[in-house]
Amino acid sequence: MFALTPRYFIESLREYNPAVIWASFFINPSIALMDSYRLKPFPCAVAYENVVSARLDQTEGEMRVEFDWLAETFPDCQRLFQTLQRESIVEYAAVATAFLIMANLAQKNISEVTLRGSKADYFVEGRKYLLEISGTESAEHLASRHGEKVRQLQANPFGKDGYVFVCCFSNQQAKLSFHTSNQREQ
Amino acid sequence: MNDISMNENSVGDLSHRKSLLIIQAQFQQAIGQHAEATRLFLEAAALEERLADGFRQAGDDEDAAISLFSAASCYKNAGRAPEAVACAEAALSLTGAGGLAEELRRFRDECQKTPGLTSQRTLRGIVRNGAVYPFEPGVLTEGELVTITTA
Repeated sequence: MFALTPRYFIESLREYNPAVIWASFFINPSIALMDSYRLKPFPCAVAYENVVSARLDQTEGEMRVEFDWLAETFPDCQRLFQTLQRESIVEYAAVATAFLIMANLAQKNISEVTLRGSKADYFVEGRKYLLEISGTESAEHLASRHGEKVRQLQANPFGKDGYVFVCCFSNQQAKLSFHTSNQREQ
Repeated sequence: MNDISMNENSVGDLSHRKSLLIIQAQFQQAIGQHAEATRLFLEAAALEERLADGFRQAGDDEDAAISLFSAASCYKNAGRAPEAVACAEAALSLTGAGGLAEELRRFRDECQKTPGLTSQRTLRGIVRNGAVYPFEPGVLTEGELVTITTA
């Protein structure tokens, strides 16, 4: 007996939730970035912590997943790097993977984005939770970036609990965790 | 007259359209298409204000404040300080004394101070030959860095 690694097609963001029309925006950048690693499907080990979901037996652990796409979805995808800085592509790709991991592992829907200054706040399940997302290509920064995002999430001025998702594309690792806010109004 | 009916569909539809506009605006900003980014930010701000009105009418001040903060941020990104400040003030009027109020005050103060964002324009220049170049003449010390505020 063997277990198949779950494979998520990036194009499924189009059907993610038909109302969430803006999820499709992140398809092309994520294909461009993953394609640049010449890994298709693109494997990813997702460590999760304090995540309660019917999809997961435990609240803490690691799950291996794969991201795949159809070649015809974005032919010449490497040309995107001529238009957009790699750093931005990495951030957009992190949002795409966050959508897929939140829907499939945490079984929660990203529903909205708002602005706070120049910062984008992603809301989950209506405005019940916040989600901090970050992408990196530096393996040694994964833990520190995750810690930084946890602090940001916990200090969010709305006093909302939420998730932190950080994806490192260079070593194909990601971390998803749930945290309570330390800013609830007294 | 507010035309939002606060049923799930209309709020959801506005919210999704607004989210797409914000994402597109940030993208245009990232690739240096500032005029298009400004247009998209303004459109997003208008939708966010409509959402805020709807939330307020439904008695949901918390969500109204979140939308107003987002509208204010969209206006700021579009270079429209007076509208940004007005939205931040409106959001402040709906919040208590917590972290959100503090962040809104910081945001509002920043909008009022940022050159090029306020209704007053602050110009900087170096004094050469008794004049501030390239702006206007004045009796100033050679080499002095000055700030001129114009109405």
